Amino acid sequence: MLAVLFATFFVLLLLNMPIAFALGIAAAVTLAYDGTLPLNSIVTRAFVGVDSFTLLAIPFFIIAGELMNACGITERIVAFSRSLVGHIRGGLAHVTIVSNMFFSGISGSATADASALGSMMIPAMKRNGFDADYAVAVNASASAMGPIIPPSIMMVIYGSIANVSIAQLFLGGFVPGLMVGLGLMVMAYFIAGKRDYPAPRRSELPPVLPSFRDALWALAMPVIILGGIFSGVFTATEAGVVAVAYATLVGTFVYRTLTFSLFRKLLVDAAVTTAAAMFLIAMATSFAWLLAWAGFGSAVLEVLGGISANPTIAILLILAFILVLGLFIEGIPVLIIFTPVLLPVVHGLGIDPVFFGVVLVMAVVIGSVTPPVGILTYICCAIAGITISQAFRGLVPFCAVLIAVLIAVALFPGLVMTVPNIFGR
Amino acid sequence: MPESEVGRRSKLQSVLLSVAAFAVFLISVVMVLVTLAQVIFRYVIEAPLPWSEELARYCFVWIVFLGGAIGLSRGIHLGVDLFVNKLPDRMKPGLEALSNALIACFAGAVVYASYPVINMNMMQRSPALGVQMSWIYIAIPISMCLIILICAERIVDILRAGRDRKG
Repeated sequence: MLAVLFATFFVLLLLNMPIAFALGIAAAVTLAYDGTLPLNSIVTRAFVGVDSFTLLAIPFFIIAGELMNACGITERIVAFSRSLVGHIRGGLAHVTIVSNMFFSGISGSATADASALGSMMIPAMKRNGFDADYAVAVNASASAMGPIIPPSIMMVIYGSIANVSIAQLFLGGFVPGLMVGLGLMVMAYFIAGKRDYPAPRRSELPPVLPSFRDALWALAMPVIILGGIFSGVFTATEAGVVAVAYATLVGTFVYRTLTFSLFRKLLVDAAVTTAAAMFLIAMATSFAWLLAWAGFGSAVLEVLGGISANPTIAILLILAFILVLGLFIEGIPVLIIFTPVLLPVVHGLGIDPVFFGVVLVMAVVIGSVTPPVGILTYICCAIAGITISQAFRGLVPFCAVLIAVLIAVALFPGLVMTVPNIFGR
Repeated sequence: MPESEVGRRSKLQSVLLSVAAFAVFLISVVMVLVTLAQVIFRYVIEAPLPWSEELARYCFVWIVFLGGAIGLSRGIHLGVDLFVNKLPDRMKPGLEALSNALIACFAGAVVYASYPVINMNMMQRSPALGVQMSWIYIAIPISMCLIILICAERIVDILRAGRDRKG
């Protein structure tokens, strides 16, 4: 049964079929092959997989992010970051990284960050004498902070599958997210020195205070979202809808760039983006159910247990597996297929599901950067007008930073768990 | 997200897709307002609405399945093109047609499998709103019918392009 499920799925993947449908067809073929389970369960499972108030947070965070982007806050955040770090050697690279940190606190998705900031920063970096491969590497790896720093769509998905508090996951992402940001800045600084990239003098840059005031409405958004969730006033979903309301008000009355037709287009675009992820969940529910039914999780636990009973080694093995998978398959599908499979393993080893969720999301998002298949690198390469193999040399050191932070976090769970333990319980 | 509008669309498909997009817009507005109302009623007025969460969830189900079909026409559902890219160009249209045919067959099977589910849920009413559950489930076969139409037209497009090259 497992053989039929996996064989069908991989053959369909090789055909370049959208992953959502490959999952659905593999499940349908397996149901037909087995003969004892009704085909109807595809329909009911698809419904059950989508009918979740927690997952409603996804469209809200996407709508809020797109609204803020359409209001021109991207420019304001970049200007503010430029006034903060633009003078450090490697100038615009640091501006990109810091802007991505702020943006991560507003949008929940790495692809949104990569396209919004990349389309601004990559051309600017190329104009200012940076090589295209460096610009791509900085932007792609910095956008990986999107799902690590809260809010995070991937964490919402993990939390809803694993039945783990979204607030705890969000809190757990803080320190690893900051570590990624700092690590990338250090690497950007060294490479900028080696390649002799320019940085403007402090005096040539806009002063900090006025650009802070200009970006204030945007910077207040993460405070509202996260403050609301962490103080226990809102659920993540409700925080999402409050963010939508806030972005609509700011766009209409403060920045005055939001029109009705733009609003309508944004809502439909956000719905389609949401549907791309949710369609996967709808189809993956049947697939994951069949996996569980065939006892795949306990088989994995047995194999892992055979290698080592040490939870740290088990975690490192799981993360290495996810990273290798991430070379070829895109983020959210990996998360949706493997979370239900790995959860019993994690429980069996006595690993905290909040900690596991944070490192799993990190590994999955690193997979979206690493070539040959990485959507974030792909988006940035498309903006820069180079191929992924041309960007390869620039990418290696930045991917190394991402993986180094992941290993550090996996070895020292306190890096993840301290913040949720202090604020969340 | 890379968006590719593949091939020409028939009048029928464009009309149906714009109807779907308009429906998605209206339902999204309802979903946002209802969830916002839930927050306001619970924390400001302190009289929680019993039905708001359920209505928001059902709006979401409709958005996902209509949006999924619109997404297919925009090429937003990602696959893995690593292997296909290595194949000679003359094989690609055939594989794309095959993949579309399989999706259409799958969608057909799901439509067929939804009949008993919808029949069974005619009597079933949702706990808070008291609406027939079939009204929510029916989003799935409607989405699948749109998907069949989109795939069928794409196959026709690919076949036509192949004939033009030969002729």
